[in-house]
Amino acid sequence: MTSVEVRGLIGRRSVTFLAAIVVIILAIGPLTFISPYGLSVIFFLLTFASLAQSYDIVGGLTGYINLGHIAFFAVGVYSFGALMNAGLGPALSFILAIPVVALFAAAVSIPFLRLRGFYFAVAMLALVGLLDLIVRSTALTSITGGFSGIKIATQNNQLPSYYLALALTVITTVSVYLIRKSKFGRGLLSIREDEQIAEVWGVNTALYKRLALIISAIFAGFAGEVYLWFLTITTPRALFGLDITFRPITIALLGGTGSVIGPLIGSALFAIIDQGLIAQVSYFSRGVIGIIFLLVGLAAPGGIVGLAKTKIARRLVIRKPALVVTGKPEKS
Amino acid sequence: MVAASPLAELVLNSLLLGGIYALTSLGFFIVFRVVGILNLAYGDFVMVGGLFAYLILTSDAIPFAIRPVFVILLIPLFAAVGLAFERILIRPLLSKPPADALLSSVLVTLGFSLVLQDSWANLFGTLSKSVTSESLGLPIITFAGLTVAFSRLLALIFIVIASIFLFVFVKKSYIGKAMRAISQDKEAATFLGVNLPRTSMLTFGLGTSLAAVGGILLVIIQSVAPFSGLPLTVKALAVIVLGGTGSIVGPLIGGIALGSAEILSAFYIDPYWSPGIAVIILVIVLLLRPTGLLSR
Repeated sequence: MTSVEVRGLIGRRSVTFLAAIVVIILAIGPLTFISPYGLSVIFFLLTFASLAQSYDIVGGLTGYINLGHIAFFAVGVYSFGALMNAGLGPALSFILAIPVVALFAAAVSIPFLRLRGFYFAVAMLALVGLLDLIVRSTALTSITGGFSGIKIATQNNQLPSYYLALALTVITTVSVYLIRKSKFGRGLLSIREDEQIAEVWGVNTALYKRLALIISAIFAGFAGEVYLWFLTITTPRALFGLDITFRPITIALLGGTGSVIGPLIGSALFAIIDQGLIAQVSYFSRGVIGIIFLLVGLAAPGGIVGLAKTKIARRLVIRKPALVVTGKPEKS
Repeated sequence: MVAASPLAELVLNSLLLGGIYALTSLGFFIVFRVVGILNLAYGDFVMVGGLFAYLILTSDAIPFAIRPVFVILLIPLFAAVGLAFERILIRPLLSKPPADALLSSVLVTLGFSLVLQDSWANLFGTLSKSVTSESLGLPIITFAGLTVAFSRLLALIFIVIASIFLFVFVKKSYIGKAMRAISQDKEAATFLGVNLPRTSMLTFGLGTSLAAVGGILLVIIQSVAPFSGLPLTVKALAVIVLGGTGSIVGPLIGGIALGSAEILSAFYIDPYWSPGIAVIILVIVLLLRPTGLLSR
């Protein structure tokens, strides 16, 4: 209810216009005014924005809290790395790693989507632990690099991977927007509201959930590929450490889950927290994330977007009701 | 470990680890059934209980003979912590609509877990801590060709007593009956005069004191480390899925099964994989039971 009113007031066109300006600035930035340090900061911001956005396809639309979303990211990292090291070029590796991630997600969905609510959340977290064990194991060291991590040939990929991350963020965001508009997206939302009723009304909930998980995994996996291409080396410790594991969900929830713009706002906000606070108290980075969780959970499960919506809606609806009525007649 | 009689040794170890898993899973499970919240910080409560037991048992400031008393006092202390945790952090979430309450409770309990982990890592270091039988001043005894630390036998006895106490408490006491009534039908129970908020709070207290028991046993049998809280929470979930949620006996059986699977796989395959056993069991159970043992 409130979201419709607010959206009507701000105007979708102005949001699109603003987004286009931001994308153009980010696109010409590295060629003109952004320093290499700034480039890496924005690269991580974009990568984690698209990761959080992809999280929200399952977490925001279906309401299934996926604490193990980083698993798909990691499968993207490792399959891309393995393909690169097998001698395929970057282009081919980028493309061929996608079906690997999709198949992994499809396989995961068979047992894990039988769980709901808390159980799904914890089981997905457990999967991350298992994946960590698998990539570290001595049996697979020749492919995964074991403890010391996966490494690809060092080249200067920073600029192209920056543009890939930018493109990925735009594509993921547009896809989430289109999914929300579609019949498929409405089906997913109906699962979030009440899965049993959705099923009674003819939504193929099992298929929808599986598709949502696979789509979400593909975007996350691609983010992983771009991540490795930029860094050229990453370790299980970095990937499966709790601060990275919970980053997509932290960002999505900080910004506001279930809204297209939320993960983007969350990502920008998290980058500020990361640079300003976590970099200062690096020994307490997990604790800082924990405190963010506590505060968001207690005060604002809708994140920044949720807070803003209630604030704006309250001001406009209660104080100046006439504004709401123009253009968008209220439904009773 | 002396391999005089590996089979007996394996059985004893399985029972010990399984017993700890059973007790901690029970604490995790009753809170879920009564309060409706999966406490993701539960494993961290276990770990912190173990850390405190370690600090007491290795402290020079406390006279040797009084140390066990202080360790036992941890159990009511943790119960009080659980009551406060429920009152301050969990109670405000319960009045929200279900979808929000789910998200908020995951955030709040996970956030608390991360804060606990990082505080510990900063205050006491990231190394795992354990208490040996010698430092407890207890002998290592030989019994029918089996060499075993006396502390482990004490732990086993303690596990059995705690399980029996818990079983009787849930079956016979008023609070236990109220807990079971709420887990069967919340509305009907409140109609019949069960005080829901009070029972929820007491259940949280009981669950958290079981975490302290688990932690104390774990630091004697194995070791505790700042970052093994979340894996322990995952194991508690696997135990519940494995044992079923029908009764209080389910988690007991599930706990022993998981403990045995870990000990046996560590002995016959490779200890490296034992942290992953819980997940593998979870996947297998979910694949074999197409409807899911738990569909909610």
